[in-house]
Amino acid sequence: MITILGGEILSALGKKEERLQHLSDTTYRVDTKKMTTVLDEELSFSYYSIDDEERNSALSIPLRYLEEVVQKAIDKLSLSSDDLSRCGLFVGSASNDLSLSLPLGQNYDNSQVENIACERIGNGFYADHLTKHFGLNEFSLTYNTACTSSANAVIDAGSMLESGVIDYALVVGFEMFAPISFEGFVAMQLLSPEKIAPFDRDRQGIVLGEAVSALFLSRDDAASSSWHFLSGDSRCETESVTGANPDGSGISAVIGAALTKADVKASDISAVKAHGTASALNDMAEINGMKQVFDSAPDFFSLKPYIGHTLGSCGTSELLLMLECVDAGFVPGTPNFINRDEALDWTPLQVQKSCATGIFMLNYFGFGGNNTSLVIEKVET
Amino acid sequence: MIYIRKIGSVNAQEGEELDVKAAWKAVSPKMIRRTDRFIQLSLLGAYEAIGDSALDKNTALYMASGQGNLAVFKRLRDQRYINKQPPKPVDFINSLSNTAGFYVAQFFDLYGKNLNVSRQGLVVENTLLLAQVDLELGKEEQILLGGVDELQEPVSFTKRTLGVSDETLLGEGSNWMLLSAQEQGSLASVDVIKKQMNITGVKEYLQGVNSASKLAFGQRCSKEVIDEILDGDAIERSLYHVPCGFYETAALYTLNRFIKEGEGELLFIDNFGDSFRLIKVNLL
Repeated sequence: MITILGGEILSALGKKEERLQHLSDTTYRVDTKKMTTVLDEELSFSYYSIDDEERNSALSIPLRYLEEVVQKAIDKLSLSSDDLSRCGLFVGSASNDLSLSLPLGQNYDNSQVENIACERIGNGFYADHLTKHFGLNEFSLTYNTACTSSANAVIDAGSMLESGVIDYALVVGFEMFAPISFEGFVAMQLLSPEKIAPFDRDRQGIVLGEAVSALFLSRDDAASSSWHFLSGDSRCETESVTGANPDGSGISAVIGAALTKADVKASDISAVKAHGTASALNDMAEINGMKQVFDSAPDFFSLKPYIGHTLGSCGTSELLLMLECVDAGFVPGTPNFINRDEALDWTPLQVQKSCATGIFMLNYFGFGGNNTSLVIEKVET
Repeated sequence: MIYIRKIGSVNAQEGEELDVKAAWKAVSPKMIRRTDRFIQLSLLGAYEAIGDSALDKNTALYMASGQGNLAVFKRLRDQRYINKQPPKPVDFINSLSNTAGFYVAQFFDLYGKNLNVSRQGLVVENTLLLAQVDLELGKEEQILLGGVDELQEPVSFTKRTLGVSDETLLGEGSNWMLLSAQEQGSLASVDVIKKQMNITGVKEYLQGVNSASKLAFGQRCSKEVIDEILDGDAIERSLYHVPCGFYETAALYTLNRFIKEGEGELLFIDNFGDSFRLIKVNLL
């Protein structure tokens, strides 16, 4: 049995007490605006930033956040250096190499194309740093499968634990503001200027956010927990490189397979953490997909109005938020939902609902046709 | 232990002209418009392995890269900082490294798991180990595994980002293998040793390897490291070396070449710093 030990998250929701209050009250805060210019027109979009007064664009800032989050998780779980030496590392991020983009961008400004690369940079930079810094097992991989990156990392961490190659797994979800990524979403007209309203009739699109999260997994013979990772499934659909087929066929395939692998029925699911990006077609694809698997609407909610769409980080960041909610005795509602969409028919939870144990599904879908579904459970201790 | 059913490689080194676009256009002209050179290189290598054969739709696709599609990122950087323009949507989409895997899946009509993974050093060994575990556990029945890295200009800059000397000749490649848990119809067996080792562990392990097995070393293994591993070994080892420019996934090129032209057993030894990984290949 794969156990979910817990972890730590850095996001726009702040510290644990504050974020639990928001999640319990179905409230959130988003006080950052990001500006960009398109065809001489200045555009403004809401953005969920990690609150940090010392923040700048230096390469060391992501490293500081990563070290801080992982260290807090280690302290919280009282993991020893021996535990860490048996812990593999799985990093999920959709940023096509922030470790390269920052120095390249800064370098271009300084016109020093030939002179900046004084040390090794490239994909895997952050994983390599974390492995050395925390004395982890040498097994590591960095995942870039867009918005399913860290969710896929969770699935593979489970496989490596089950095989016995490692006894602990650290799964890191990592996404920070990246100008080119932000402007890419603007260019594709996928962003909502003000708020993110998943499954609402008048939803206008995504609001991006940043989050750094660290989740530890193990096996029950190494470390017990009331949270278990039952199974997950990941699939690719090739209808469109930018999203799931709106008919829901790709999504129903992945969530159906996740249930089969977990050996549970759709009716066993207590609640679904939806992907819920608030883009018109993706929300439709998600509802259509769930309708093909669930006989009636399960309790479902989106966490993106709380922390924004954190892209490659949402796999672990949203999983951790959900663990915290259920540990506190509830599943959260979905902020900003006002009007029922006749075309979707199903509506998300709008306020929190009591829930202390159960089997839960977490869904994630991304560019590149990647669809991922996880099934976890919390048992009474 | 798992099995290799098909292999395919595209490989070139610094100074050689590899017209990827023309080669891929000859295979699939309709898949040129939205794809860039990195994606076309990925497709071409996978096609070398699979050709026009039909794959089971549930075949998983694990694509590894040391550096990812960095050329498109440089284009995006230039659009932003030089031209002061927002990114072109096609470049933005292609900048997500898993876009290459999407097009490979689309070409071969695959609907299974589709991963894009990277690592600083030992990326092939770690990805192959993940594939081995997934096949051994029965989580996948068949996996199309590839390693793709593109040569980046200017080479002097790239050598520093790769942490290799100025004298090192760079290369690029797209090397693929179709993996299965079943032996039937396979070319070779492959076994990634699950235990990570330091150099002492490698020397101890080598004492149990028979004299008929050939040894190959990864591109990051220095002459000093190789000498130390071989020093004191009671057996005169037969070394297998494939000339190849440096790129992070070149280990797959060596394995594929051995499967294509070698005989017997190969023990492939690779390192990144003090960490070593070993792969055993047995031709069937």
